[in-house]
Amino acid sequence: MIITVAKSDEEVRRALEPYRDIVVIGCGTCATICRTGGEDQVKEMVEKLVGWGKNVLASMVVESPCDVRIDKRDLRRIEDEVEKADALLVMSCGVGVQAVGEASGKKVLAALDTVFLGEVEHIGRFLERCRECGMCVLNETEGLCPMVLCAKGLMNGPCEDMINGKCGVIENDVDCVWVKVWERMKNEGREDAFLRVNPPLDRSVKVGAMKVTW
Amino acid sequence: MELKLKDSLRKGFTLIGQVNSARTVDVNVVVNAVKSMGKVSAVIVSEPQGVLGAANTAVVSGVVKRETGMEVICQLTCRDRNRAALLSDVLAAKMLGVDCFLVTDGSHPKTSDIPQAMAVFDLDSAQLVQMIKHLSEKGETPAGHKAEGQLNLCVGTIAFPAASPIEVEVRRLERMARLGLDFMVTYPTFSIEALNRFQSETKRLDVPVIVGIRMLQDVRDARRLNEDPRVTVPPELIASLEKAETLKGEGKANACLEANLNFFEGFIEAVKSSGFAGCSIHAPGIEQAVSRLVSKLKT
Repeated sequence: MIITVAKSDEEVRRALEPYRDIVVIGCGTCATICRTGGEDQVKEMVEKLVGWGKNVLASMVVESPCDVRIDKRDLRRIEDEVEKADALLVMSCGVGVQAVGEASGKKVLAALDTVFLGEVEHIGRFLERCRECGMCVLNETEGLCPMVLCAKGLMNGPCEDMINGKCGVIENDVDCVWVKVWERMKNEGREDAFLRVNPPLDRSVKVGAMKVTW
Repeated sequence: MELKLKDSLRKGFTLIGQVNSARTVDVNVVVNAVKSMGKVSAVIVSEPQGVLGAANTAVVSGVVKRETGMEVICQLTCRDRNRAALLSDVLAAKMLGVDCFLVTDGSHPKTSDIPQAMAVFDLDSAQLVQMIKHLSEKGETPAGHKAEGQLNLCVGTIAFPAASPIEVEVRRLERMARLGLDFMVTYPTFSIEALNRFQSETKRLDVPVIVGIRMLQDVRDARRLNEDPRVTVPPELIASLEKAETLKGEGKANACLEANLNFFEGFIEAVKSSGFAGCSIHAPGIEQAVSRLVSKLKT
């Protein structure tokens, strides 16, 4: 799940300043779960825009705005409004904003900040779990990602900031992931696995925008 | 001439000093501090805690070496430099006559005075130890990048005797010991009991342990240090520094110095009797106190 949070009204309003005729696009997938770009949030945004003196030509929740094919299919229903709009305000993650731009060929503006790739514990509690490094080390680290869960992203922790099993860098009493890795190894009777030195990551894997094609 | 420290740690009790680099262009800030330390076998040039952008320790170490002729241990952290910059600093330090490195992960920029800075951690401390050992033994990095010339390097790390759970800290050190770690310096410790416990846990690693001593300027300094959850300044030492507060100027400074000397003279003797490899004495801002302490110790 791609986790998003709403940008401040002030920031959205500033971005919209040069534009009058607006179409608002929501996201029926992740941003609906995050309650940042579902039906209700789109409705609220439209009301806000009207209050700011904008002319809202249309609004809709696209099933998954990150998919250019679905954008093209869904936007066809409001084709004329999109055509006339000065800008489309997209309430989805950054991927959705860019895909809508690509599908429509129109000026797009982001209403949300994309914060992380995370798990949903329950609605209103989302936890970052992956930083898409392109070289998953979960098999070496007992299914816990040190890139995300260690404040320093260390591949061989813990570090000097481990205080009573907690991370001294992150606030809110977070467990040191390397202590958890150790405990899991110990429970499995694999203590020696902790002594292995995980190699440095290959940073050349992630250069520019990655592409997967076949 | 080279790698004296490595040999002396295995032979007898070694006293070294520690001085922080600083955010300054005045080289005398560091050099004079080192000069005032008196008879120590070597000096650690460390990064000041919580301060980013202090003058590069590799360069400062080289300058200290040139100006004092002392053996210098250069602290390198993984916080600000990627693997190429770390390699570059190791080579530059060696070019300036510095063979010995004290490697740590480094505190996170978030807890420093420039919290917006990017945290690098391209390598971690274990990977950096591995790189330095590999360079030293094979003349190339673990990835096979060759470096010209005789490297012959020595590498240590900081150990945390008060860490909890201690078994994780011991395993972390064991991981580095297997890479050929040459020494460890403990984080400032004031308890001989904690040190002896730590020693019993780490003896099997066969890596010399230098005990980190932190002298205290005054009661404020002691209280500030005590806020660090990894350090416990003994109440009796705080009490004697507190007494000095009734005095002013030189009288107060002398009373504080006496309090330090009274505590650490016996403490270092106990460290020595416990079979540790040595002590590293850090007295930020009062480096001349190191000289006083060292001259009081039985040699």
